[in-house]
Amino acid sequence: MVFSSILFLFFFLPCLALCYFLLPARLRRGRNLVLLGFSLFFYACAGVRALPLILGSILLDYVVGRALEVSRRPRLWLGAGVALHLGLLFWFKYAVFTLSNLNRLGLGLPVPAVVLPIGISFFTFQGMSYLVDVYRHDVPAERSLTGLALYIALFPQLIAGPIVRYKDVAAEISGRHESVEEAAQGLSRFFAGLGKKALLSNAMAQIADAAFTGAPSAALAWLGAAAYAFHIYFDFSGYSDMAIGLGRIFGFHFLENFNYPYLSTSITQFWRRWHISLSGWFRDYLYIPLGGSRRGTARTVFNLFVVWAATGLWHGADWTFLVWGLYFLALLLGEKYLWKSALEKLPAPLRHLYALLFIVLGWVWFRADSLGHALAYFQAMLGLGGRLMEPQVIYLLRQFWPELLLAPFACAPVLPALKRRMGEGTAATLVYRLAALAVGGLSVCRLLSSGFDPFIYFRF
Amino acid sequence: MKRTVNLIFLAAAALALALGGVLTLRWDRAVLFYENRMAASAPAPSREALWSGAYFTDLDDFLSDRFAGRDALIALDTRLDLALGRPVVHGVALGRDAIFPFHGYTAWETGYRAQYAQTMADRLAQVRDQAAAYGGKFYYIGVPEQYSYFHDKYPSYMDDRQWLLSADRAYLAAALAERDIPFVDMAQRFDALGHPDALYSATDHHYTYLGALETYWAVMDAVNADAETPLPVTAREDLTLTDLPNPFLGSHDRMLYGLWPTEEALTIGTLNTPIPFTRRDNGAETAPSLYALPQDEEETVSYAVYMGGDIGETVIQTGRPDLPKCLIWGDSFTNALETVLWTSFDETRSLDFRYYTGKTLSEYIAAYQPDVILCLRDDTTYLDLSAPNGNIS
Repeated sequence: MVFSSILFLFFFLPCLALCYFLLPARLRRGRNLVLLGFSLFFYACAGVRALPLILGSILLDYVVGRALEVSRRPRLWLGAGVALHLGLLFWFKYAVFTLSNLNRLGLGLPVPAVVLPIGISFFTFQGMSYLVDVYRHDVPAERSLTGLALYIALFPQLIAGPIVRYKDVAAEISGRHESVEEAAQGLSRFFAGLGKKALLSNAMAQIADAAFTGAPSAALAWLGAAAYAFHIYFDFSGYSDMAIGLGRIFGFHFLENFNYPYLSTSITQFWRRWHISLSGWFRDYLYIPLGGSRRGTARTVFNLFVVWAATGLWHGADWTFLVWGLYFLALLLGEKYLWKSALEKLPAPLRHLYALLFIVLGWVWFRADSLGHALAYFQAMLGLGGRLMEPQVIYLLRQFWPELLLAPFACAPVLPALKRRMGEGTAATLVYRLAALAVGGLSVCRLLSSGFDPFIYFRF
Repeated sequence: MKRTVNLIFLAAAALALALGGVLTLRWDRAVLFYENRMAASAPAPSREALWSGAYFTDLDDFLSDRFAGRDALIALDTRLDLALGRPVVHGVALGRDAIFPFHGYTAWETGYRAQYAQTMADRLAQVRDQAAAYGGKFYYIGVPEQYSYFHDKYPSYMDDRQWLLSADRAYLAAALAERDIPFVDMAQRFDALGHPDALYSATDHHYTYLGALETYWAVMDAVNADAETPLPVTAREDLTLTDLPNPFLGSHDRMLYGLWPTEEALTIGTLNTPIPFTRRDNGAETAPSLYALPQDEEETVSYAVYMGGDIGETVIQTGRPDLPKCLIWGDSFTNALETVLWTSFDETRSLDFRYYTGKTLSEYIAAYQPDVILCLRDDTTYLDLSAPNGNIS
């Protein structure tokens, strides 16, 4: 079940809201149980087969978390907990990739038919962050199994993030406050995210798919790469908007996952604005424990290598993702050690252009089916594919002109600027809410007419 | 006050979501009007489907198809796309004064289709030989499909598929010529007439009544060229042509029923001097009519008005034994032609092997021994070896 499905919008969400808000707010435990029950049902809709995995993962975190507090050997418990999490993640996500590549060396190892459980990368990382935080005494272990289960399985962020830290929601699990204002804001945010997905992302996906299927001309290759940049942003930030909005309806405040990344003027800045919960996770739970930048240049480069290889592979078990991660490592190292001062001297529009160019090129590695495909695509972009232009470009531009026109504005903080201008008065609130309803209604029209389109980040 | 606005917003959204769900559960229909497809049926919960997640995916498809107000919302979305000036709306390409299928941008080599043409021509040669054995004549009639006829009306940046259709036409024409099978190529005939727009529908994938009439005259020219005694031919002045006042929705293949603005009307022809006839469909006696006319002027009409749409077997008898017997087979292009073709024969039989399963073509010919055998195909199906009306035996 996805947020943009009829099943979710018209059945799951109204039923949940009814069951949840019919219970008085003082019955917090009851409301949590409703939320947990619906969250597990939400997860089971993707296949009951994955339910034991997430339940096992919750139990693992609960037992290890409690043990970390009482045991004399917490390091051992932490090591065991993290190893189990990583072991499961490796088996389900990387075993086939690893064995297939080993078999290229002629080993002839049997390759198991493993189905990737939805959201495993997200709930595994949440579980590990919880264990590390408890180990570091940043937070006390959760006493209630229901409370911990709710943290891990809470449906808005369960299958595609953002990666929520326990310390950010611990207080809200036991004592949050739902309100009309928050619910209205949350639902508006949800509709905004739905609009990003249904009205913009899906259209951009069609342009990108046209370019990444077959041998594009130079014009189509550039159009496709730019469209994919829009597609992945609207898809993922739209999902994050929906998750954050749903959280607010039920009294949770998840941290922002995107901060207008395409306004960045450097790659370093881009990674502070893109998928903030993931880059923050790698910083706090991998980069800094490895020593960060405190142990000299060589060690810093090594640490960054580990982080960016892991970042790439987190997105998928494929060489393209690894290269994508290392591509950004190279750019970040360049900005850190080579062209930082030169970049800072450039006018802001040129810095912006520089960042956008390398971000868009980076998405080619990410979207391509293989390294060979990516290289052929780069060739096409350079005009070495044999054709500079083709009729399909004209069709795509004419077909999707409204979305292409709207997309750059939707990547910029236009709405916050409008809100600042209009203020927070009653009239402004009325306009926001009417706009939210209009976007929600249009999105449903478009979803019915165009059919289901899965979110990119579901496969991670 | 702000709180009131938020409360009203939440109540409106909750009502819309809940009502959408409740009405969807009460809604039941089999066919999706604008999408020209059957609605998904309710999935059966099984251990395997729940285990894999397929059950809820299917359930979502089912609920989505039954969604209350789905047709109205899709119409709204379509109208919005039309207003935005998109060149392709709901999968349909908007050409100059006509609508077409959107083919995307996939092209392939057509060389292998020469062999398809040889196979198709071999099959048709067997029909020709079977007819010749008892003195019958066989003619192959090719008509352009609407998007082929109007290919120059496609937006210049879209694929009109002429690279494929013209190759198919050339391969088949050559293969038929090698075997001396008479080929009435209506594309050439229409070109000779100046390729008038009036011969084809703007919203349907068939020709118009005028296009069918021209085809009839071309067929009769070919038949009479071989006949010792020329057969009677219904001329334009023998007919009264009437434009039905009903809204014409166009083809189910062009899924913009009534949303794309058009004044197009469906035309029917009636004989000024009626010829009595009887009609049997699939062996059963039916009313002697050539058109399935609407009840009133508000009812929408489609190409299915001609002969009442696609029927497995239709037999029209006129009780004029001095005239020969005719058998025609093919897809729905035969329907409009049949409304006038029968006037030249004592008995006219029509087969559509998409629906007719009684006999094979050769068994039928052997039993019936028609004097004239016609195969009518459109140029998108010339080399379709697996289609029921192409995979003949």
